Amino acid sequence: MSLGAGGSGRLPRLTWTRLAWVLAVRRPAWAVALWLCLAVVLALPALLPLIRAMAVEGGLATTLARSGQVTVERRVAGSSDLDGLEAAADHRLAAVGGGVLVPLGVTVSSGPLHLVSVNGIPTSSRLASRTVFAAYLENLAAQVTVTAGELPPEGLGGGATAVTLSQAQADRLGLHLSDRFCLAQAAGGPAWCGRLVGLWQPSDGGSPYWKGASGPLLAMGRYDLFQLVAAGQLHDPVATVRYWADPTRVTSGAIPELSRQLAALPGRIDRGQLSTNLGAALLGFQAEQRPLTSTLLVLDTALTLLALCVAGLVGARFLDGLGPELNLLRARGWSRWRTGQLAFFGLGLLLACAIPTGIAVCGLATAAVGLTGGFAPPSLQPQNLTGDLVALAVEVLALLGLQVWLASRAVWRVGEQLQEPSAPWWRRSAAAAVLAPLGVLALLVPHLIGGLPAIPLSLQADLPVVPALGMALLAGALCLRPLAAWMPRRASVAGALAGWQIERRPDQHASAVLCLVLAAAIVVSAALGLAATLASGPMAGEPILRRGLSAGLAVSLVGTAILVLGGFGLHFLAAAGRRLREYAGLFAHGLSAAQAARSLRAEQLVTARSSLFLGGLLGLALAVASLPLPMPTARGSEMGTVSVLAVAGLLLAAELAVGRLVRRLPGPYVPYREDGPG
Amino acid sequence: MPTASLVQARQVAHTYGRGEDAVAVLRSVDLDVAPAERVAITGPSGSGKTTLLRILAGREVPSGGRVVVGGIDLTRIGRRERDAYRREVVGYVWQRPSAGLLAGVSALDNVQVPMLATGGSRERPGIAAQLLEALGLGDELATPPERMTPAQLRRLALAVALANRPPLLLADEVTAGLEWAAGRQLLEDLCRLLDDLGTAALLVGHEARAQRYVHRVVVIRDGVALAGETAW
Repeated sequence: MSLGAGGSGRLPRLTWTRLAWVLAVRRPAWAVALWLCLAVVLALPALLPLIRAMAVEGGLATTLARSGQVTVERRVAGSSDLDGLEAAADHRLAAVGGGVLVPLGVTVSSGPLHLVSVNGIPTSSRLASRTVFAAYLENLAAQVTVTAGELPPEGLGGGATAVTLSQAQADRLGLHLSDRFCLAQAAGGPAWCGRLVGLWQPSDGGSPYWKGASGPLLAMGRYDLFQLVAAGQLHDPVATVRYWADPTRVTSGAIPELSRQLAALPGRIDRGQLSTNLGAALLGFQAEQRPLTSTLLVLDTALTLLALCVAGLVGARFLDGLGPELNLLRARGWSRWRTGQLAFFGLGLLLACAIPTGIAVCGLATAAVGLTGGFAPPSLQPQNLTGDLVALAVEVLALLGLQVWLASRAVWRVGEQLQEPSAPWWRRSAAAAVLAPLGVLALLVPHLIGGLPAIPLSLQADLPVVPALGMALLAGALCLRPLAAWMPRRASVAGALAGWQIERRPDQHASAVLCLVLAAAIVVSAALGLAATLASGPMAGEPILRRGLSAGLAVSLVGTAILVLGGFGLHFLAAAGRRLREYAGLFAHGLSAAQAARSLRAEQLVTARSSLFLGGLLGLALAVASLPLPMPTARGSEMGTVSVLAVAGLLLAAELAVGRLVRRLPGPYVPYREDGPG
Repeated sequence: MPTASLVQARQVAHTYGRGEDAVAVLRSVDLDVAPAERVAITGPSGSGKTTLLRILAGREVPSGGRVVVGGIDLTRIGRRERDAYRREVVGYVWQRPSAGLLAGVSALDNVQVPMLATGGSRERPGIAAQLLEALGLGDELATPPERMTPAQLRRLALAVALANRPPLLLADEVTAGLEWAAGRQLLEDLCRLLDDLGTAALLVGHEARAQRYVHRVVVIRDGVALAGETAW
């Protein structure tokens, strides 16, 4: 027989991608678990900035709706005088903040006027006492819905002046469409007459256009108004050029510069008085939103680090399961590089599947938070989108880097030794001795340098990242400590086995410990933050900011618990599988399945209890040292209660998860002669 | 039969462990295998047969002696050369054949896996299918290992080991556990294929039936190659 190339056309060709995919999904439950884990890992850190953006945008919109007006006001003699005032105001205000201020239009009003007669009949003294202002309202047609008649065009001229009124004012004055009525500015003064040609009502009563409208307005054309002024029937008309800060053009980052430019505006423009409290309102808002931004930044940084750790933990356990296949390929002469490529490719394919899922999860969670918290969806402005996409790209790159490291480590392990030896105690202690002081220092950085005037504002905004990194360093130091001291009882077979396993390789659960410590720290600090927010309300002036902070803290708390319990559960399953194989000989000598299960449970719970306890203390330190919220420090017992409850909740969930998983473990591993490629 | 040696092993020794725990498995083994020659290695359990096979497969470095296969001195090469040796010079069949196969992957793909590491070729599926056909698995191209009978598993393991057309096949207990007729049929098909490919083979096993299909039998006892006899 000669092995040629015939007949390969219809046969499926094995490619790198297909082999990587086949190996990655060979254990579907693990592939799905890793896929979901990566999706949550991608979604969770992206969620907090979105919540922050929703709350800040909502708060900013409320502030601008309340205080976003800028006006220039003075008396005008005629139409050309008004044109000059408009041009001068536009010249000074249009450029503020790069076009943040949008013109609402000009209002010219004169009054108050008293109703003298209606349809030739003198008015009663009750009606005569009700005043009205003659006004020219620019852009009125775009702001109202006509309910009767019409809005007359400019410069109509002719007999009686054509005027319009809001339906509510017409009712108040007892006027009807087509009524002819006369008014005078002062008792006994010259009267002039008009005819009601239109009734309207505001299309949007909450629009800034109606903000600051001075009294009941009898609207007429600009030409008509100045004709009446020229005839001496209206006196001292006051023109108001109005601008409004557009919420879609104001970002929280631009507030300092915008406030500076507003403060630099002259007090008078073309002899007109400039009025606004926009700058002060924006600065006040910025001060109010700072606790929200800083707190969520601390938690988001910590959550991102936790997410990467959990992704590493689950990825490593996933690759442990692929060990036999990788080992086989190495035995067949595949180089480490090629084998590692294949392992990385499998992880990468699952990550590629997780990206759209993560985006969808994030979108759904954002929508759910928006609905429950009453937030409008975050605006999809180019600068926001760019920031989000960059953050996603950075996180994906970090995950890819992590996967490269995991794959190369897995290939190194299967190629030469099945288990890495533990680092000697002195090396672990030395590493912990370096990490711990650095962590404490980083935790205190905001207190040490935050208030220094030399620190630029932009850097101060990013300072909350440092304590979160410090917390991670401290968690790293804590995960290097020996666990054996936490073993409670060793009298039983199960206790002795668990204790022996923990002493045998002290750092075998280090990754799980790191995740648990970080998770407990985040949960405790988020719980303390939530308690402080609900109790004292640091942002009483802006309820939407408070709701945003509460939502962000709650998401951190729940998301952290879900993420860490998922990761810890998968770690436990993988560790239990390995233990059952290790105990094969003991099963042959009478170790019962129940004893093995109790041993596995004890081993994992020692890991969980000690990590959650230390992580809880770390979270307490993070909350007190770094969260810019008014912690109830005077009420130490309350803080302790909240911390203990948070840790206890997480521990209870971990114990329930371990207990449930232990019952689902397969039976004892049946020993038989292994002659695999190991 | 060609006379130049494909395999030259001289005074090969191997010890597991150190100090008091040291166990000498091979003491002094000399072995020559010519290209396309089939040699059976037999001996009692624990005599060192599998260890010798693992040394020749490049998976163990002998404690002493010298082993040259296809001009490559296995005692002097580095990790990368050893990887290339395992890819291109030897094919290995494990005693438990499933240990050398990827579960959940079709027979056709399993045979293509070793070829992937030696560079891309559009002819891979065709070559793999012909190998499987030659070993009687032409109807099982899409069947994964876990759905195969023990005899089919051994045939698939042989096809995988021969995928890169190595000059040397190393097979550990290739017919162990098979019925007499199934084992005989397997050996006949294997020998036909080895002759076609010009591949030499070292077949390790206890069973006498393999000896009818080899050119020579080498007995190892207590870590020493005792005799080389012509089987026919």
